[in-house]
Amino acid sequence: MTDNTVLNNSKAVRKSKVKKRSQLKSIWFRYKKNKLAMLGLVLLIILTLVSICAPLLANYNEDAIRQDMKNRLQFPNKDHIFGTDQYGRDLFARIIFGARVSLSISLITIAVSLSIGIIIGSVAGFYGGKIDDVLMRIMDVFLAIPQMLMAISIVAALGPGTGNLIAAMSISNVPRFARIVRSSILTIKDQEFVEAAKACGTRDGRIIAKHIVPNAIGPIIVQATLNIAETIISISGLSFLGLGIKAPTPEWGSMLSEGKEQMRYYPYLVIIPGMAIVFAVMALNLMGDGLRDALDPRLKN
Amino acid sequence: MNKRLKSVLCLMLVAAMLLTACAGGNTNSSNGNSAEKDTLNYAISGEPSTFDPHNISDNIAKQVFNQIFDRLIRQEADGTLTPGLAENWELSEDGKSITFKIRKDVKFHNGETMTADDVVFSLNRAIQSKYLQEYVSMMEEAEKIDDETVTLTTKYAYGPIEYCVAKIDIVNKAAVEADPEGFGRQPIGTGAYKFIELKSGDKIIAERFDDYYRGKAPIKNLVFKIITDSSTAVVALENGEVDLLSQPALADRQNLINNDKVLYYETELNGNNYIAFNNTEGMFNNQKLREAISYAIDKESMLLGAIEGAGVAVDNAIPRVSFGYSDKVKGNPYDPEKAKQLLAEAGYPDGFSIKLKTMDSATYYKPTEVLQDQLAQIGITAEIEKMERGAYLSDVYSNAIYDMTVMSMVYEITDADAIYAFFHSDMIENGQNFFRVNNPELDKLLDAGRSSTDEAKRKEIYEKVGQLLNDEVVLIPLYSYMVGVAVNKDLKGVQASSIQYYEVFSFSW
Amino acid sequence: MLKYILKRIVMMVPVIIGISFLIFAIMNLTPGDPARLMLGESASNEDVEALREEMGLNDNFFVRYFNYLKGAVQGDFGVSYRSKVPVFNELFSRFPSTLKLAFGATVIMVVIGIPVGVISAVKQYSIIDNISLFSAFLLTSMPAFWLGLMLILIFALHLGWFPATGVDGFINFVLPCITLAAAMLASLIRMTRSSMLEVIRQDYIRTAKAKGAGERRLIMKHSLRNALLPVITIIGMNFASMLGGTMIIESVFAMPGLGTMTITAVRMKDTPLVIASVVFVAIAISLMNLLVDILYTYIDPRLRTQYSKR
Repeated sequence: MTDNTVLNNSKAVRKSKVKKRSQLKSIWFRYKKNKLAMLGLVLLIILTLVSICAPLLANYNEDAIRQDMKNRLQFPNKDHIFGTDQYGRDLFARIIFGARVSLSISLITIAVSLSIGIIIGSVAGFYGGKIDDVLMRIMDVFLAIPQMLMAISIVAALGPGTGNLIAAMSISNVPRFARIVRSSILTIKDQEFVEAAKACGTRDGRIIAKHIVPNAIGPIIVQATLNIAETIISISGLSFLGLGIKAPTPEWGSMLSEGKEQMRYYPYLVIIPGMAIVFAVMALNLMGDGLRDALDPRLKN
Repeated sequence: MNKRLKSVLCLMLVAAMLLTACAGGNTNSSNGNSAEKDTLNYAISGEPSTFDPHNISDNIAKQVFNQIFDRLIRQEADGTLTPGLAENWELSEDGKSITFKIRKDVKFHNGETMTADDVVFSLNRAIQSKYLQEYVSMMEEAEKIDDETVTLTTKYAYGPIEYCVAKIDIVNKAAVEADPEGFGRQPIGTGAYKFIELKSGDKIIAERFDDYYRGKAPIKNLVFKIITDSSTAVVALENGEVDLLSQPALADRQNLINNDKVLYYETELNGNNYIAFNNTEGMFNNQKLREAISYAIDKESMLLGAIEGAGVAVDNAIPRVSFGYSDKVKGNPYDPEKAKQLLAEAGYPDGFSIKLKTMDSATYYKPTEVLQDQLAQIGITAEIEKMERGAYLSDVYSNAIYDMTVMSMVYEITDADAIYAFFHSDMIENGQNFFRVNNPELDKLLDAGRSSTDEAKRKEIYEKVGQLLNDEVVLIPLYSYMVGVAVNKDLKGVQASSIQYYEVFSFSW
Repeated sequence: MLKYILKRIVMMVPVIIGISFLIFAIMNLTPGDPARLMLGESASNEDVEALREEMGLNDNFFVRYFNYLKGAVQGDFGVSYRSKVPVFNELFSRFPSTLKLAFGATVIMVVIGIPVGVISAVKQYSIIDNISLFSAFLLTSMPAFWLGLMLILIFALHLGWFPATGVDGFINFVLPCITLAAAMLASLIRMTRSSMLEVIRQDYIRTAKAKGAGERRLIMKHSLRNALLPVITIIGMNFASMLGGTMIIESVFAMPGLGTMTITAVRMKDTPLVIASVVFVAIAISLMNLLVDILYTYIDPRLRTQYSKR
């Protein structure tokens, strides 16, 4: 490399860094304007804090797991601010540790499907042609099967348990991410600067990383946020059908299905975990939607 | 601005009105509003995959078959035996055959008269059936002697044979032979109600059979409503959408008892829940270990957590309502400290990990969840493996592939001899001894109890059996529970049945 | 145009085959024996083996799949393992309820969603906008079965306005349809809103406004029609996905539809029925998408020319 190229590179790098910073700033600025989106962010921060600080607020084994029949089915009172469940376990403890479970499983699920989706989408978009066709047809097969059905089939077949649950739900999310990445690539692929970069001899991988990823990242984050929300609801749905997280691990969906039969007489058993789900899902939905609006240049006011 | 808002709001108002307008009037279909009182809406929790009684063994199907088919011997709601399609019967001297005199006045739903041929056909079909082996494995063959007489031979003398005969439905030979597949969709029996139609996933419609040999049933129409969700079923009962619900969820029990629109009958089940051990294969070959666990069990908590307290803690493997039960039989008390001590003595001072298999039914997994917690308190980490019903029963019941599990056993016969098949060492090969218990003294007692006819002596024998089972900790009896049936308060003639047998023929409005 | 439609239909075939293979694989390569499940607990191992032979379950996986395909191509999609009834008979007996459910939910979704979306857009960032968006989000964030149970409790039990179960009449569908619609409502409101916003800002609207057209006219005549295009896509997609996603709601409201049938089939490893059910839904969804696309081209003159050139 000649000295000139080095100089040019660093100038270009600095320029792109500045460009990026102001881009982020303007995105943030648009996001802030959306009151609902801000609400979502605040809710999410609360949720994250609660999950992280859970061990400080309650003892996992004593409060969330240990049964205490003498104190079962207590309405919220000063000893147990959310009451106790049908085995005498403190509901507050189970809710906050449940937040950890729901969030972590959803995050892992999305991370898994995101990784696989990005790989598939990039390969399909970048190399195009036959590979693209085949991959997209395979994606269509998975997309054509409703997510619930896919998850039920896999979990019913393999048995309940965290690993199987994650596998079942990741599979249905892969096609969506693959599609986003692929379409981002397709929009950019034919543009001039990519051709120029190719002409320079830049490796494919670098082109993907430097040009395509920044473009695709917006929609991906939006989709990921919304998918986490959807996954949390799916998990609770699977628990309703008896295919969710195994006892005695606290998980909001399982708590709902356990409390269901007592619901009429001890409604808090179902109202509180239900509200927890609504809280988390709303936070993510509002945020995801806000991000979508903020990232969409067409809605500039 | 205002105008547009108004028109949009108008639209929404119209839609809302449309919805509530339909809500006001009750659009009930022709198939029966209980207010007409000539229909019984019977809630069932699933849909039988066939209506051929010899090709399915399913509690839901049985509730339907009880109304459509009859048997040679009838078992009343409380379990006593009385003549059914057979006027009388006689057991042979060697106990290996039983001869029935068939009624001549029984008609099938299609008008044909029931003959000995139908009986023989049905019995033999049942004997060959893969689904009914629990009741027919000891039977050999049925033979027609003459138009009024049928003889059933068994492979060996079997005391409770009559109870087994009381389980076999008699079907129309000609109809089955003409179209076996079709018979499963449109069954023909001799029962008080004839099958009209299945609306898949929704309801089963049946109608009174006017030529029923015991007379016309008081209630003309019978509709089985398929409601899979238990909370929804209870709501439907309270709403009047259904009139009878068998075994409602225990969480609703108190509410149903208190509800004045509903009558709740209950009786104690002939059976109990217990912790079963595989006594020979695996870690529980160690009696001290089993003993340790027996001190870790808090039965009162079990009662609350598993069945909302609707039952009684028991120390005897023999059910409370069976002949041979004795409350003098004692088990080990709840003493976690002692449990930990014995655990160390048994060779596990630091506890251990174990898998608890269970199935997807609340009767099984709830006590398992409580057990998991109680084991954790003495240092044993248990992981619950929820299995499909068939898989669980295959593993545990048929093949004894387990270490420790919570089982729920119901016996058809209210006599302690019912447990023979589970605890006698001969039954490891030929029966259901999934405890894999091989105890000569126990065998002797069980044999003596089976062959003796002296009531007092038998009582004594079975008291010893119960105590021996506890001393050796072959199993840990937990509790027996109540079975209930909740009905519309105006429905008369209902009786709780410890064998969950409900005959709509005996109900009336 | 016709060519385009045919091409789309032809493209569905490999997807359908793929689906059948996938489901077949899942059902067969995982633990659980349909024969055992059918015979139940006390059946002996010999009896289970005999049934397995009868059902052809002991053949090699690929042999079985090939046999299945062979049959399918000739029009025989097999019979349900459980009921021995041909699978399509089962499907068609259960389909009407699900269809009614999805249709009713779509109607509710449209009747509430579009007006709210329009109002939100016209009065963007106002209190009404925020409240309606917030409510929509709230509804969507609720797990379907929770909402369903709450509705049953309040409206069926306490108020007695609606029945909790069954599919006898119109009235039985109200609560389930509301529950199903709730989940989709947010997406429809958001889409209507953003689509309206986009159109409102367009030049031709400003031109009309400058020309003095009344606001009402603006909205109804110009904006709404154009804004509805993407909305129709969403409605179509939502309707299609409802067809496949009614399991939980059908379960809670005890409705005899495709959803409950499929759950039972999956649990009992009734492979032919599961495949048929999934394939059926997949075809329905694909056809729905195709229909929406066609509708789109007829409504949007700009697209019509593009497609007719193919």
